[in-house]
Amino acid sequence: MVKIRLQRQGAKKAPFYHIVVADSRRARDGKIIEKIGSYDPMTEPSTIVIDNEKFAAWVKNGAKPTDSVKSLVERVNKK
Amino acid sequence: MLIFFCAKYYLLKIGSDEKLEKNIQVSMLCQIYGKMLTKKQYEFINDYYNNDLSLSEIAENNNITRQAVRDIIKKGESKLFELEEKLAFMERTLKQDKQLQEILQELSKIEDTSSDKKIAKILEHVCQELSCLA
Repeated sequence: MVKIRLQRQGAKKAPFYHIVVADSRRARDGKIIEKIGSYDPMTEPSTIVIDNEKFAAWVKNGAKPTDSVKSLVERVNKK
Repeated sequence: MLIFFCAKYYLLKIGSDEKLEKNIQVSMLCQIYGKMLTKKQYEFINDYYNNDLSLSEIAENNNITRQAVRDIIKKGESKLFELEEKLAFMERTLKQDKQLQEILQELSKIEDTSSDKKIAKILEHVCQELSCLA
């Protein structure tokens, strides 16, 4: 199954996440299909960048977002 | 709160919510104290918090039950929080980073106002050295 999930990047004390589309069986090797956004929790306030068109297209095609991605997208759409 | 609308990107600046905040905290603790955990605890916490895998996916990858994965992660988490409570390494390093940034800001202000070239050169050197620590 294709999933939309967060992928941690960044340094030891500075986490930074990419929002990626990846095969659920290949989550651990870091192979992704497409990067559709990013989330930086270290800025004050935190920064979320997401390509909503791509997100909607992937969901339409059957990709399943994880809870954390869902909550980020909800927060973007609320505003 | 700031919201920027670009052609197709939506950039939103907002305060972080509680669950995500906890995830980030555990992820950072795992990077600092990860070596103190068992191999399984480290692997599962890394998968759950850094690779955003679900409990079921981790269970499937390791041929164990979802409940077992949850127990291992919970045990690992409490060990991480216990270590942080005793050693406070993360708290101290974050505090140090903040102070370092403040010092760098102050130094750049002095550097801008200083007319003495020798002092400006020394300050520039100090700033460079401190930036490496940040």
